[in-house]
Amino acid sequence: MKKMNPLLNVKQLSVRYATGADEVRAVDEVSFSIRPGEVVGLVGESGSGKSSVAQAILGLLDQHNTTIAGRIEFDGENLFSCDESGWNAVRGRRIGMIFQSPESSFNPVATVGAQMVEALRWHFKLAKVEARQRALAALREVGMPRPEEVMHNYAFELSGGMCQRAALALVMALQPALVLADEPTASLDVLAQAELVQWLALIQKKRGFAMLVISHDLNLVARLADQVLVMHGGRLLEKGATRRVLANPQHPYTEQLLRAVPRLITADMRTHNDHSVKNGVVLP
Amino acid sequence: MDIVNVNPADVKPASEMRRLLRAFLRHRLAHAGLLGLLLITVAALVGPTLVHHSAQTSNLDAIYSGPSWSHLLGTDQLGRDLLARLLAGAQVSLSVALAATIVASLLGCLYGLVAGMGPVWLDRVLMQFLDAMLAIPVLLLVIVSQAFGESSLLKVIVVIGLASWMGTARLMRTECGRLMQSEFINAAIMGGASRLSLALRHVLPNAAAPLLVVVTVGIGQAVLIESTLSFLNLGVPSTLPSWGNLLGNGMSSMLSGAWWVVLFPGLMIVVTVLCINLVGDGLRDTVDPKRRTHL
Repeated sequence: MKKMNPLLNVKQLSVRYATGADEVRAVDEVSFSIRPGEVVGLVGESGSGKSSVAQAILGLLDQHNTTIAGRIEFDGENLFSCDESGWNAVRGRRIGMIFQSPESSFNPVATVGAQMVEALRWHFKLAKVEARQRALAALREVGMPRPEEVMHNYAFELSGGMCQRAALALVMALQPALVLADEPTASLDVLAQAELVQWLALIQKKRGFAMLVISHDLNLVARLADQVLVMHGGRLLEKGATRRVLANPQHPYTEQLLRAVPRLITADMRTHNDHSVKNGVVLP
Repeated sequence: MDIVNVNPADVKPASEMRRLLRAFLRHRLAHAGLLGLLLITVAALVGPTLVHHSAQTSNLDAIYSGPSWSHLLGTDQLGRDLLARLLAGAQVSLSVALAATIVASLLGCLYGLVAGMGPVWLDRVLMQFLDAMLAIPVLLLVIVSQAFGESSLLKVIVVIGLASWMGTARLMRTECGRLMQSEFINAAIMGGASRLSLALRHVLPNAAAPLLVVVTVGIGQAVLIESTLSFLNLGVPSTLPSWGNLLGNGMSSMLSGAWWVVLFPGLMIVVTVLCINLVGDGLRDTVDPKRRTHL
């Protein structure tokens, strides 16, 4: 495979939170890179610093109590040297983000449609009618039932799965080169999870954007990611091709994570030496 | 296996606002408070036209006459009808309290938003200043304000407003901190929302519920402050009837045994503040169900 220039290059990223007199090292000298069109999974338990990495990439960390060190390059440009207008050109437009809790990723006092139209108008300088058309097209593309109606709904009027798909539609409509998905399925029920993962995989293939999938769900990561990063206590413990890491973990913590995956395998399946199911994770 | 086709769009949870409204309407004490406030407001608006006596005409033949059919609540030291003065005073006291609360709320919201959304150093400076303001007694502020111009309604409103914006400011600052952590704020930032639009369109509307509680209770506080100031002759000009003025005038009347001159204005103040606080409690329990008390 031809070596491409990385789209995102994170070098020695450290994030520290000040809590009173103490300081918490949420992210400790983490380095990794993502090539265009590549899907990278970032796994680890809650509190391992996964989300802080995503927030640092978008400059969304609360400036009141955090110190950031290291360097993040996106498309050859140092993000930490961005001013406010530089950030505005990157956030949403070139790097999109899908948030953890679908209901709370829309403002509860504005309709889903109004928020989509606003973002589209701002980023593409579109007329209202045109922005509306694009928002509708995006909702249709993620298979939203009755998109016209959903435009007039508030987030709390939609189910979690529909909200998350609306969020996905908005991210897609802005055509970013990189999408950060921070625990996109964590607060959905299993059916909605399966559905969202299906759409996410489908749209990623179709649009070809790069993606950083942050999750503690190894099955989700196995399903989507080409590369896997394993994080624990703010440090990157292991990285490599998904199949290699999940089938043959090098670090004891990765092994521990794999053993912790809940299984739905009957006794006769276990005796069957099935290569695609290893440690309870369905390998790609 | 049966497959039931349910479109997820058909299942809609109740709107947040409608849920809050329903919870508020179930609050029985808030009912009583709301009813009381409604009666007082209607009385203040239409009452003066129903009473035969004028609030300002003195009748020297009927000085300190006790409650009777011609003067339901009696008369004061100049023979003026107390009921007429009480109703006229309601207009003055309530409008001063309402206007002062509006001043305090606007000031407090603006201050809290600037502190919560502005740069970190500005936040520190503003919050330190707020703590300093909280240490100044209201009466001191009022006495100092006496140095600036004649007493007038406008001045009382501004002084009460300046003395009571701090609670709203602090709440607004806290709400900013809480809401700025929400994902929809980050989502709005991704959609290109400016700092100003974040403050006015995303933070402020979502802080409306707790703000409403503080503002409601604030009106009751303003009624009390107005009464205190007018009682001390530092508030509403003595030519205008207000509940505090009536109470202040009544002080000397007590010596003549005219208890009614003090009792009725005092009662009006107590009942009004109680009603406002009941409504405020109802709103608070609606907004914050964890603190709900079942009565």
